[in-house]
Amino acid sequence: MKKSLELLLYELAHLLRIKGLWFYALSVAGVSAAFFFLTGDERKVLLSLLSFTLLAVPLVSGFFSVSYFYDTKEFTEFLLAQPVGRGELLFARWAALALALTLLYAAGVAAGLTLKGFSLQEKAGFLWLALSGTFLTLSFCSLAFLAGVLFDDKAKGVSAVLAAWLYFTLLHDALILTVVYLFKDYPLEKPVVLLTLLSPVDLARLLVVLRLDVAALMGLTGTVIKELLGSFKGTLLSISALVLWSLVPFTLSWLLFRKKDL
Amino acid sequence: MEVLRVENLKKSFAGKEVLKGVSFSLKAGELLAVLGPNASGKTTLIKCVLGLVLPDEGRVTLMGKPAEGKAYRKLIGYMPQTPPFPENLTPEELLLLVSRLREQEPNAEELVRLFKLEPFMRQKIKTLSGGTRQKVNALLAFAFDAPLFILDEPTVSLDPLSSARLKRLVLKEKEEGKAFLITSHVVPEVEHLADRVVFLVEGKVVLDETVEGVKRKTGKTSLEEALLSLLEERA
Repeated sequence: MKKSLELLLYELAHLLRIKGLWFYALSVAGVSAAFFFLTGDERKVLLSLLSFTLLAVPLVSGFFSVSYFYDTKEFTEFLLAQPVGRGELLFARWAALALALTLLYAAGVAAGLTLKGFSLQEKAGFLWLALSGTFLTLSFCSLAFLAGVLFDDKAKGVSAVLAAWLYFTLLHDALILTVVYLFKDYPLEKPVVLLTLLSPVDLARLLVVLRLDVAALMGLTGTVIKELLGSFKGTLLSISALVLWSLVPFTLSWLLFRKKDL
Repeated sequence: MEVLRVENLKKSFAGKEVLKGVSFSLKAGELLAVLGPNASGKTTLIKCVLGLVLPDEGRVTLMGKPAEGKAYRKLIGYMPQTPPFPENLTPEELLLLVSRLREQEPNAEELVRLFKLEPFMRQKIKTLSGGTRQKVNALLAFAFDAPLFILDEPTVSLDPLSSARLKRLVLKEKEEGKAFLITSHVVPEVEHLADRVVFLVEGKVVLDETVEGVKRKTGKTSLEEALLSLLEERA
């Protein structure tokens, strides 16, 4: 654990010195500031930022993490030739990446919000948005590590992460709608809840819209979950499922990495 | 005293046998050069010794310890072929990181002087030339006491002077009883350093002999010519 912490701090120091990552934080800050300039309505800003988060955070987190995983493969080998456990090393690298990306995302949103000072009416909403962005970062870092461990070929690993992003941000909702349309004569509440749990992006969206109770953005899955479980239980379910999305792919990669030929 | 023992090592990747029962041993104060043409299994062999690749059969022991776990890897000083360090860290930070991971104090001052690294220790890796990065690579390998050093193409991208300094360092450590496993494509360089040569062809050891022994057997005056004649005999 001590070595994991050492590695995490060095990795974090390296990551926070990458200028490209600060461009990510600046972009988030720029977008949130732009939304505030375009409309004074905080709720609209919050929802616009949510849409941006759902699209950009998984893409940046997944793509950067998987590229970083492959680009530092030789350094991983060098470190593993030292007295370090494979599990310790992988955990430190994953945690450092997730922490750096979350910090930069949060810094970006916070920088945009400082334009409004501390007179925000939707403080809770913005905190839920930050939590949603954190879970998305963790989930897609985990998926990226799983792809990195599963595929030796960088092109395959990067393609797998991009395919996951495309599926979760665009195709998963289409799949749910198709299921609902095809089986419209049957009671579909429980299958819809189950299908929702299978997408971290859907869950991250629900986390914010259930707390804000925004009918327009609730969508089919949000409406079903709210009716079936209520806002509180729905939020709890979303958080639990997002914790699993954050940990399960990484745990799988961790188990595989311990016996992998490098 | 025997430091490293490799016994009947076999490894396949996707059904292709890369190592076909490789065996050899290495004593303290001995330098063994692992040579062979491309795709002969040198990298896989080194990775097996480092514990990065798990063999299908056979075993590797270092000072009697099997090739797994942290205690095993603390016995190895490793210099990879290309310095793979994160570009935004400095050599000083890397030295400290490796020191903390190994839980060993580095003996770095003399090495920093030897390789003239003083002006670069606090500069980011990305600002260093290929040769300086390779010197940092050597610094990280030799700064920590270990009974076995594994050097993969150690003189690549070093200028002749630094290359000579590195060779002198290797000989000094060898005299102090350290064992060395070296791979290199530059056979004449190895010839002056190595006590023994293991020659790998298609995953098999076709020769495990002293440098003088190889020359005597083939009737050649240089190791390069001797190995070439061996390869031609097999073709």
